[in-house]
Amino acid sequence: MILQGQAFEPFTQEPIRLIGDGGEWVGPFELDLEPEKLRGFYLDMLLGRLIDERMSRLQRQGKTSFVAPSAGHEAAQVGMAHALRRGHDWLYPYYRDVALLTALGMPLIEFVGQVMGTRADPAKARQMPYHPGSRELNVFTVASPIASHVPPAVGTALAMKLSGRSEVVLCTFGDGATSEGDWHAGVNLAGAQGAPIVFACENNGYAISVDFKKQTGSDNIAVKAQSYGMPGYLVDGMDVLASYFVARDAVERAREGVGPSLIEFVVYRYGGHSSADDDARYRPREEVEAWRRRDPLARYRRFLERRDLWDDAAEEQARAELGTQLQDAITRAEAAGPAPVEWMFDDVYAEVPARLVRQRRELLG
Amino acid sequence: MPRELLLPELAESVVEGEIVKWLVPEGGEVAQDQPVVEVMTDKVTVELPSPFAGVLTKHLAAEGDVVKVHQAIALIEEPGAAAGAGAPSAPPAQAPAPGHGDEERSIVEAGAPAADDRGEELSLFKPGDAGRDEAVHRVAFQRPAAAAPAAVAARPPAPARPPAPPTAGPDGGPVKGPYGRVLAVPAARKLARELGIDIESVAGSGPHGRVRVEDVRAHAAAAAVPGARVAPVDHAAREERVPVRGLRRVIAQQMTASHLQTVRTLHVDEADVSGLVAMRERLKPAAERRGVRLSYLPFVMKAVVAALKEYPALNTSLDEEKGEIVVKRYYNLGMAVAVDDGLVVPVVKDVDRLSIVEVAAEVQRLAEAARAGKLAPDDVRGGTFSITNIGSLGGLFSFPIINVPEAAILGLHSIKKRPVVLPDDTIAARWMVYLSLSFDHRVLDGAVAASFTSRLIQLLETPEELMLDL
Amino acid sequence: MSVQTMAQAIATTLDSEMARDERVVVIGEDVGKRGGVFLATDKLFDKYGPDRVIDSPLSEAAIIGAALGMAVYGIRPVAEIQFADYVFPGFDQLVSQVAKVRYRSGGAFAAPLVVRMPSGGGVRGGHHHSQNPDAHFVHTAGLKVVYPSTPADSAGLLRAAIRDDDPVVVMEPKRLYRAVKEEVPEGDHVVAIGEAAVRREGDDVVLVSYGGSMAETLKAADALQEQGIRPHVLDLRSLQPWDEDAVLAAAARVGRVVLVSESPRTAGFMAEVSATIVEEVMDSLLAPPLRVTGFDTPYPYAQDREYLPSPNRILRAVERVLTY
Repeated sequence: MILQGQAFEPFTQEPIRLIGDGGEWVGPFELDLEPEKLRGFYLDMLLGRLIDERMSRLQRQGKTSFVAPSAGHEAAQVGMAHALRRGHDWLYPYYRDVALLTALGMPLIEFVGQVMGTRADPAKARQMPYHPGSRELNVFTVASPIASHVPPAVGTALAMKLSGRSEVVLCTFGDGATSEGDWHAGVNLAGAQGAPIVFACENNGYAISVDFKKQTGSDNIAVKAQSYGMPGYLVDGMDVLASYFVARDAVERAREGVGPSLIEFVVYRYGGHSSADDDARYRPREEVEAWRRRDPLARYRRFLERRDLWDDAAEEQARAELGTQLQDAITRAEAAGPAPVEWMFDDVYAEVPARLVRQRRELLG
Repeated sequence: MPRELLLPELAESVVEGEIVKWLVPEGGEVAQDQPVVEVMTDKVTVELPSPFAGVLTKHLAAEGDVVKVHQAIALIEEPGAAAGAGAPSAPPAQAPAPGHGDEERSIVEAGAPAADDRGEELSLFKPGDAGRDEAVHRVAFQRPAAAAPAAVAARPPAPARPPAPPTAGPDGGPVKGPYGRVLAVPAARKLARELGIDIESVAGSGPHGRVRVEDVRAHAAAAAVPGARVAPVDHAAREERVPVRGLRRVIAQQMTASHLQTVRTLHVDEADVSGLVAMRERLKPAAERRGVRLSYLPFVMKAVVAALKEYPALNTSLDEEKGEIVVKRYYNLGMAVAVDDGLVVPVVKDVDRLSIVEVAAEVQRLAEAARAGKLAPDDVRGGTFSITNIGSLGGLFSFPIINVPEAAILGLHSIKKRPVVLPDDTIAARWMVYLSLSFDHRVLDGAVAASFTSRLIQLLETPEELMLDL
Repeated sequence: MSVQTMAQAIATTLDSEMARDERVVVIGEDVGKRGGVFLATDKLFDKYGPDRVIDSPLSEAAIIGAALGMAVYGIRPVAEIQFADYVFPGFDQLVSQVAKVRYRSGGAFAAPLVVRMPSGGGVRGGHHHSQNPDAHFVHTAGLKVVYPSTPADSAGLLRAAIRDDDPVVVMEPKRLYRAVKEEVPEGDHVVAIGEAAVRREGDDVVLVSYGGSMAETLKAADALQEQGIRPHVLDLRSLQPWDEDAVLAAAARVGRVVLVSESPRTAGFMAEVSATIVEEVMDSLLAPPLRVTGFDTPYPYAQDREYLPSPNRILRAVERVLTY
C-alpha cells in the first residue's frame, strides 16, 4: 500500500534523502513507521556491519579464502530488504549483499557456512565465498559473472506475470554491471514486457578500481532508465529510510502491474573490492575518510536517538547479542566439518549420469 | 534450343514450391527480369523474375503443382535461338549457383572413376577429392569367396583384400613403423599376447607389412603343426586334410608353447589310498544329500593345496621378461577335462578357502559346463597349479604337459587294488595310485618336487590330517 | 500418425506439449506471428497468445537468460535461437547460468528448459548461418544435448527434452527441415535422451553419425550395400549423454569404425567418441577409428557442398579402415 505523499519523483538531480546529516527527518511526508520497525532497521544494519568486520578477520585467519566488503552499503541493503515480502517476492542479489540477505532472514549459519565452505553450506560448498542463495527465501544463488543474473531475474518476473501472481523480483548489482551486454538485454526485455521487477544499482563509485566516470558517460545510473521506458530514481543509499521508501514504492508499483523501475543507491564501500584488493592504489585515503563521516549507521543512530529510540546501553546490548549469534554461527559452521569430496559429483544433472559415476569411481575408488 | 527456367532455392531449408499463378501465358513474350510466375513455399510466396528475355514456349508445371527446387518449370526460347542449326548452342540451363549441392544427383550420375590414389605413405588421409565426387566411389574391398558363415562373434575378420604375400623388412625381419614399432593392428597384438607369440616374429600381410589378426593365427598354426608347411604331394589322394581350427588349434598352440617354453621333468611315486577310499565311501551319502557327487578329486585338491603351502615353489610362474619367479599366495587349481573335440582346463578358484563339499560342487559345475561348452572365460583363467586325472582311461602312468605359465602339474592315475608289502612283511591287497608330477626345472629342482610329492602322499595316506585345516 | 517434415513435426510437438502442460511456453525472435523463420513455431501464437508465445527483443542473452529465470520459477520454457550461429551472445547465459544453476545452488534451483537451435550447413548460408557448434555445449557440464536427424526423432526428442528436469540443447539440422517427410507418431511419442538408433545392421564396418550428416552417411551406407559391403549404421541422436554402450559394442564386434560429423575436426565431438573407443575396446580394433568431418576452417559460402562430409568422403574412409 503506497501512502499518500510518498510517491517520489523520478530522475531528480540530487539523491532523494529523508534523513539529514544530524539525524533529522527531512521527508516531505509524515513518518508513520512503528518504533520496533525503526529499531529493526538499525539492528539489521548493525548485524551487516559486524558480519563484515568478522568475516575479514576470518579471512586473515585462513578460515575462508575470500571476502567482499560491504560496509557502507548497509542502509541501501536493509532498506530494500524491508521493502520486500519475505519468502514471497524474489531476490536476484549480487555478491556484496550481506546485510540484504541477513535482513531478509537468511540464517547466519547458512551465510557463514557458505563463506567458510563447510558442510554447513546448504548449497554444498560448490561456490566461492559470498555466493549464497536460498530456495526458502526465493533468493537466487549469487553468480560471479557480472550482470549474468539480470536476464534470468527478468525471466522470473515474466513467469510471475504469466502466472498471474502478485510477486515481484528485486534484482541488485553494482555500477560496473550496467556496462555489461546482459544488463542491457535484461533491462530492455523488462521494459518491453512490463515485467514486475525492480532493478537496484548499489553504486559505490568503483568497479574494483575503475571509477564511475570511466564506467559510463551518463550523469548517473538512474537516467539510463529513461531509455528503457521505466522510471529511474536517484537515492541516497546511506539513508536507510530513503532507501526503504523508494524501494517500497517501486516494489508495490511493480506488484500492481505498473511495470519495472530502476533505482540507483549512492553508496560507498569502505573496504577494498575484495580481500584480494588493495584499494590504496586507486583511492585517496581522504576520500574514504570523507565518506566514512557520512556513515549510514551513525546517521541513523542519531535519528533514533533524537526520537529516544536508542542509547548507549541499547547499542552495547545489541552488539553483544549480535556478536554472540555470529560467533555461534561460526563455531557451528566450523564444527560441521569439511564438505565431503563426493559432493563434487552431485547436482550436475538431476541424476548422476553413467559417465560421471565412472569418473567418481576414478577419484574415490 | 529453349532454355529451362528452374525453381530456385528460395530460402534456407526450402525444398519445394507450389505454382500459384502463371503471370505469362504460353506463347507470351518475356522481358528480362519480368515476373513470370508466382510461387508459394511454406516459408515465403514470391514472384519469380525471368533471368533472360524471349518467348515462354511451355509451362512445365501447372498451377497447383508442387515442384522441387532446381526442377525446370518453363521453357523460354531466346530471340534468334531457334534460327537454325548454325546458331551456337545455348549455354546450359541456368546452372546452380557455385557450391550448391545435390548429393542425390551426384550419387547416381555416371562419371569417371576416381583415380586410384591409395597412397603409399602411412597417413590415413589422402589428397583431396574435391571435384571427383560425381561418381560413387568404388570401395577397394573384396570379400573372400569362402567367408566364414559362423556366428558373428566368432566370425574371423574378413581379410580386406585377397591374401597378399607376407611382407618382410630388408633384413628379413618384420616391417617397423615410423616410431620403431612393428606395424600391427591392436586386435592382432592382443591375440599374439594371448598366444605367447612375439609380434615381431610374425610376417604381416596388410599394407606396409602391417600384421593382421589372420597373420598371427597363421603364425601360430604354423608353429603348432611341425612340418605343416612342407606339403606332402604324393599321397594327397589317400589323405584327408582337416583344418586345424577352433579348440584343436588352441590346444596345439598351448602344447607347443608348453613344450617350447618349459624344461619338463618327471617325478613319479605311488600312494596307498586305502584310507581315503574308505573315507570317501563313508562320506558319499552325506554329500549326495547335499546334491554333490563326491569323487576323489576334491580330496586330492585339498591335499595338494596343503602340500603347496609347504612347498610354495610349485605354486609359481616364471616371468621371463622381468627375470622373476612369481610366487602365488592363492591356490587356483586347474583340472583337465576331456571334451568332445579336445581338452579344456577349467580352474577351481581359492581351493584353500573352500570345504571339501564346496570343492566337489565346483568341480561338478565346471565339468558339466566344460562338457556343455558353456565355460565362461573366467572359468578357465587364473590357474596356479593343475591336476590331470588320467586314471579312468587306464594306463600305468604318463608324463603330463605343464599348463603354462604354471610351474607344475600333477597326474593322478587309476586307483587299483595291488599287492603291497606292509611294514610287518605281510602282503596285503591295498588301494594304490600312481602320482606323476611334471615340473618346470627352470623354476624348481628335483629335491623340492620329490619333497612335495612325499608330503602329498603322506596327506593322501592319512586323509584325516586334512581335517586339521578345516 | 501423420506424414510430416521435420519443421512440421517440431511445431506439432510444441503444440501438443503446450496443450498438455500450461507451464510450457515458447520464447524467441519471430516465434510469434511469424511462426519462426523456419516455421517451427507455426500457428502457436494464434492458439496460445502472446503470453505463452513470446516474441522477444533481438537478444539471445535475453532469450536464454529469461528462459532460465522462468524455469527456476516453475515455467517450462522452450527458447528458440534463430540460428545456432547466433547463440554466442547468449552463450554466457547457457554456460554460466543455465548449465550451472543446479550445481551452484546445491540443487535448490534447477533449470528444466529447452534451447532449440537450427544448426549445420548445406543451405548456402556461409559461416554465420551454417555452423554446427555442438562441441561447445557437450563440453559444458550440466547441459544435455540432442541432435535428431528425422522428423519422428525430432518430435520424440523435443518431447523428451521438454519433460526433462535438466536443461536440454536441441540442435536441429536445418538442411533436413523440409528434405524428408515421414510418419510421425502422435500422442506421447518420446525418444529417450541418450539412446542411439541402429539405422542399418551389418558387420563389416560401423558408421557412426548424427544430425544432418546422417543423410550423407545413409547414402554412403546404401552405396556400400550395393557393393556387397555390410555397414552397421548408428544414429547417435543424443550427444550428451551419448550412447557409449551401442557404439562400443558395435566397435568391439566389428573392429572397424568411421565417425561422421559436419563439425570441424579438431576437438570435435567425434574426437571424444574416437578416444572412448580406443580407451575401452582397443584390443578389438582392426583399424584406427577414422573421422570424416567438416574442416578446421570457418564454414565457407561457395564451397558449401565440399565442406560437408560427402558420401564419397565417407566411402573412402570406409575403404581405408577395411584395407588397413
